Amino acid sequence: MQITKSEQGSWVVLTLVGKLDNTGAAELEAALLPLLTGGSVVLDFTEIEYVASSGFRALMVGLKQQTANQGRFVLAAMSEPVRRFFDIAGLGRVFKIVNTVQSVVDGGV
Amino acid sequence: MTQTLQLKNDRREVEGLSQWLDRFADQQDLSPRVRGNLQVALEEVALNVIVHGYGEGGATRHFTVSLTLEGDYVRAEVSDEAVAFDPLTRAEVDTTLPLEKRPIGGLGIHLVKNLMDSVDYERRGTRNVLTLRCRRKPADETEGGGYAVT
Repeated sequence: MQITKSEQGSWVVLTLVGKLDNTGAAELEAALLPLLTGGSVVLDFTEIEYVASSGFRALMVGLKQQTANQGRFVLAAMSEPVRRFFDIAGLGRVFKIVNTVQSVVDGGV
Repeated sequence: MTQTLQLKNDRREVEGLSQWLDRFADQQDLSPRVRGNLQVALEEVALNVIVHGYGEGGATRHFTVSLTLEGDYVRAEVSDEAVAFDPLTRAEVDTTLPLEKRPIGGLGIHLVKNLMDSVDYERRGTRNVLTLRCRRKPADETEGGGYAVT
């Protein structure tokens, strides 16, 4: 998976490209680790093809850590099939999922 | 026509599985959604065999994944020689729990069961055989490979 980090206002944006499978999840975990200290993190899911259980594990670690540190952890711009993975996993309402990165960066959350 | 891939008990093997599956999906012109469902389901099953069935680090052991087109369905079969284990007997995941009570893992088999149209386990001699079936073109699929709005 390809992960690009940028800062937009008070938000750290991680743009993810590829598969959030076993390999991708390990890469995401490493990229998230220094960011889970509170603050605001949004993951751009536009180019994510699918999410396996290892991917959900990495995302759950991120969400739990950010919640414990009074931070924000938002997922943005996922395709319909990817959104379906979250619903099947029963995580569609556990995560804050928004339509666009821009909406959170502009202060919509 | 059946295509078969042999894998070892090393979790890095799932990368090769994924590439092999992508080639199959390209050949059969599977939609992004069907491709994603198969990718996730087979990764979960393969990792279960590698990590729990065989365990990593010891002697090299093999298992196979095969893909067959069967009418409107893709049939995937995962066959290993680990001790008898039916993953379908695992307790259901409680997906209604709030965040603080949700465990961070354990979703693998739950995803497999819900992404595929059918999953069947059989002990064949010394082998565990898990058979997964999914439609090549789901009934509710739209032109772009997404879900029809109902």
